[in-house]
Amino acid sequence: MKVIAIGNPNVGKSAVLNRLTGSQIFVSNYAGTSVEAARTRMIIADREVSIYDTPGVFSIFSNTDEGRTVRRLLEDEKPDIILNIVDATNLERNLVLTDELMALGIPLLILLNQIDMARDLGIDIDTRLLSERLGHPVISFSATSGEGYAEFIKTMEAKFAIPPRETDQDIIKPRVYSIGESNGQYCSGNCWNCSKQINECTSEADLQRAQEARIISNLVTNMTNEGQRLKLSRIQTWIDKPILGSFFLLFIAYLGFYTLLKFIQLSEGPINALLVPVGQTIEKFLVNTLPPGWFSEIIAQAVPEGLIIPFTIIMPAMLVVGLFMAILEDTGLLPRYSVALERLGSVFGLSGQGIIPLALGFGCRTPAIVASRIMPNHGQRFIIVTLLSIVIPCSATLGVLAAVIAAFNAYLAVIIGMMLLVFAVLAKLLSRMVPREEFIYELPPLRIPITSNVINKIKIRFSGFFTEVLPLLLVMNIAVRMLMDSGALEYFKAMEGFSRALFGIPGEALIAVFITIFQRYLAPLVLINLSLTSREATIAIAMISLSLPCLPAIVMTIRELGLKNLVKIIMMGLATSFSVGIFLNIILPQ
Amino acid sequence: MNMNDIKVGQKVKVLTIEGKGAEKKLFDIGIMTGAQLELVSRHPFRGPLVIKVGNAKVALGRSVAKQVRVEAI
Repeated sequence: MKVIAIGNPNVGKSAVLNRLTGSQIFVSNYAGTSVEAARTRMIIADREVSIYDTPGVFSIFSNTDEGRTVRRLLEDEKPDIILNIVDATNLERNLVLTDELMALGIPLLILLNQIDMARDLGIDIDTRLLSERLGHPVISFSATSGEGYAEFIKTMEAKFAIPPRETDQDIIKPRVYSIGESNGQYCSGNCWNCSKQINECTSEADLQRAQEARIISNLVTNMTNEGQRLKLSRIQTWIDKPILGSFFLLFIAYLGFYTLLKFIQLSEGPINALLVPVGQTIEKFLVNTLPPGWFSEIIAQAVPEGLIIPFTIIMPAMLVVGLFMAILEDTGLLPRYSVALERLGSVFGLSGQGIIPLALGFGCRTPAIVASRIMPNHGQRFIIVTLLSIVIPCSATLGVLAAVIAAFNAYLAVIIGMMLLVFAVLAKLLSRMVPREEFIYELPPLRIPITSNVINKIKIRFSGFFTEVLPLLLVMNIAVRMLMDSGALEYFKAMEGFSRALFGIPGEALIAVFITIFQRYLAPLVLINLSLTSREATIAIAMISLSLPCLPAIVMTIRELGLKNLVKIIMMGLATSFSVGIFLNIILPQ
Repeated sequence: MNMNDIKVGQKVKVLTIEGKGAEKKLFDIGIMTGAQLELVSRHPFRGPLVIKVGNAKVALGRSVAKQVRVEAI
């Protein structure tokens, strides 16, 4: 039996599923969307029930990645039951979606989540009357306390007992709705086809649904007492104070950064100690098994090397950032960042929450790319990852850059000025291409995170480390090694004239720019062995620090945004680096 | 008057939403003609407004808030 869970954003949907199924979770990425759909399983009355989690949507017709994911799941999986998760504290608004779902002709089971919080607010909901009005079973539920679990199982067992389709069709008399992208001749203005043309404004059907939802909500809801003020809502009032709250949020973010960098720093030693012998064994094994030659030498070197980066940098990054993101999401703090940072971001034409991954990038860019999921849409995410890849120097890069700048007596102010200038110009240009959306955010009530929920979310974020990240990094590492070993880069020395004329630096310094792909902090070290003037060094360092993402960042970008976007970023990186070189060569006095 | 003109703590009723751009998104979060709103806080430097819609809190940028025409209740 297949069940698809659908609900508005912020109704605590994943917490409900966690409560229902425990922590068995299977993650699958849905092609064409940036949104994952997770599947969980449970056994009811000896029968296996697959429950699909979906991203929160306000409408199944909405023209967003989330809406598309939900529609595709509905079409592909043909669920036996839709589990509609409704926030009891915002019944009226949630019922609009319920009304849409009712019209699909699929049996619904409505879980009135956060019923405990609703009671605390003094909201009393007559579930029996609600169930009568909707024609579908309604269960009061609390993911926090587990209330309603037994009733859910009982209802599901009853669904097994009677063949669901026959009984339900009598009750709901489906209207002519279709989720299919190509609809037949009937149309009431509620199909995907029609809502596509009018998705920027509300349709008559939308307004009808809203009205119906208001009527039902008013009918079944009684406001009892004033409601007691919860301890959490008192904290919330404090956090939602514009200035004080912003400082608090920044402090939490700082704690997160600190933990992450400390974790990477502390875990590197033990992980290395573990990996070095493993790497040596692999190297020995490869040398012994492969036929001797250039290729096997490279493989034997690149494979153990390729293991170090994912385990020492990417793994801790995915774990710690995953943990913090999960906690921020689960507590409801995450959207508060976008509110607090909105003004700052808008200076650069960015969404406010972009400040978080950008700041994180000064520590290490790999977790920052993971954290760019904080962005509201794909376009904004692309901007942030591009800025991270090209402009933001990570702490490792900064250290080496400082050393090289000192060694050549390069013009520090020029380099910093160039970085700021490129950041501002790039951010402005990119945000022109992907305009900021109108700022509309829901601020969910603060909640105490549920441990199993947090663990599941980390699992989701971490999935793909062994299947995608690790193999990809190994392959890329082998490829880069081969490129470097083949002597292809030596050709750049022959470009002396070109390099001198355009950038005012020797051809060998140009090699360093390309080595940034391999490891950014390695590139400046190539410069150390050359004899450069301050002017040459300044140009070369500026070109290196404003160029390409490092290998771990490249791998994360492929995983998070796809190869096509990575290619775009690399092209932009090269263009930036060359423009910086040419620009400085023109303006800096000889 | 629009949402930008009201005082913190004031309760208002939505008359219309001007312009079509944000109408659907506002509708999704419950801001539509006839809805009752309360201004909770205003972020400094012309930052977003925090508004109570039903039992939910919503943040609106000033440019969107300008499109929401309201009357006092």
